[in-house]
Amino acid sequence: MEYPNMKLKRLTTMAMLTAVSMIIFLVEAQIPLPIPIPGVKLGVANVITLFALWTLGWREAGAILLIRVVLGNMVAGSFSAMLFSLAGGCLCWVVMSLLKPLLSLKQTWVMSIFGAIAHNAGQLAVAVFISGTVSILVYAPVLMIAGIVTGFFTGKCAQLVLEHMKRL
Amino acid sequence: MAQRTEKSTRFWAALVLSLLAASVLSAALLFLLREDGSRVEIYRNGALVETLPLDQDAAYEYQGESGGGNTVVIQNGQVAVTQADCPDQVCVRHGPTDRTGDPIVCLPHKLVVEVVDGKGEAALDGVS
Repeated sequence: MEYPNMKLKRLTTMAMLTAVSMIIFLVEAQIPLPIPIPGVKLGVANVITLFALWTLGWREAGAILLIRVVLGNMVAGSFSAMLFSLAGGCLCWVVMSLLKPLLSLKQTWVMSIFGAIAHNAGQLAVAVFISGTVSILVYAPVLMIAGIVTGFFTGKCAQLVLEHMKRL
Repeated sequence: MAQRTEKSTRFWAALVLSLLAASVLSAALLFLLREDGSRVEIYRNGALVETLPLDQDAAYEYQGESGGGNTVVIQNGQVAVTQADCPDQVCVRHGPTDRTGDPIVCLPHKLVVEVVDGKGEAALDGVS
């Protein structure tokens, strides 16, 4: 059933989700990690992307992600960090959107893990391109491990929220 | 529905665990394969600009594109980036090293400092 203000509701929901993901992003930006790639983060903001993917759709999730990356890096990052975030975020969004039809809600953690891996892969690829050397690839295994671990937890977190929402 | 979900969950879990195992193994391997180096290679923008011996104390300033830069110091057989004007300071926080496969990278300045062994190649850089 279409409510007359459904579009408005979607828009404001998206705006709020964008704001929340930006806050998470800005807080995370304060945590130093031993990886020499600007913009590498723990990835907790991905919870919002996952939530949006399930409740709104892949296009909306992509829009929220794009705005968060651009605005977030304009505020607390640098132009080069934005480049890495865009590459990683884009790959993450594509991978997660492609995986979505293959997974159930209870498997959100899987989507999250591969999203995290994709995000790191995107950033690493840009790093290799920018530095012009392959030396930085030694960080690949560590990033993969971190991606799997953080992806699992952020995925489980999003899953918990989504599962509880269904009961409302 | 529960049946189908369980089967595919097992598949995904197996896949993730294999990836995790593979990365842990690679990480361990990369770490163990590190060896003592004899020379320092400094790359800027992908090009080798300097090769220095690890046993001679030296200090070099590298100018970034928009002013600022990094200071690379070789001391006591180790190389380190002692100061940089980039915001994240990852290169400085990396600390000194004298092993191969342990690059000090400053991406904002496109600087890569790597220790290589006597054979003329970083032990793991099979691409060149």
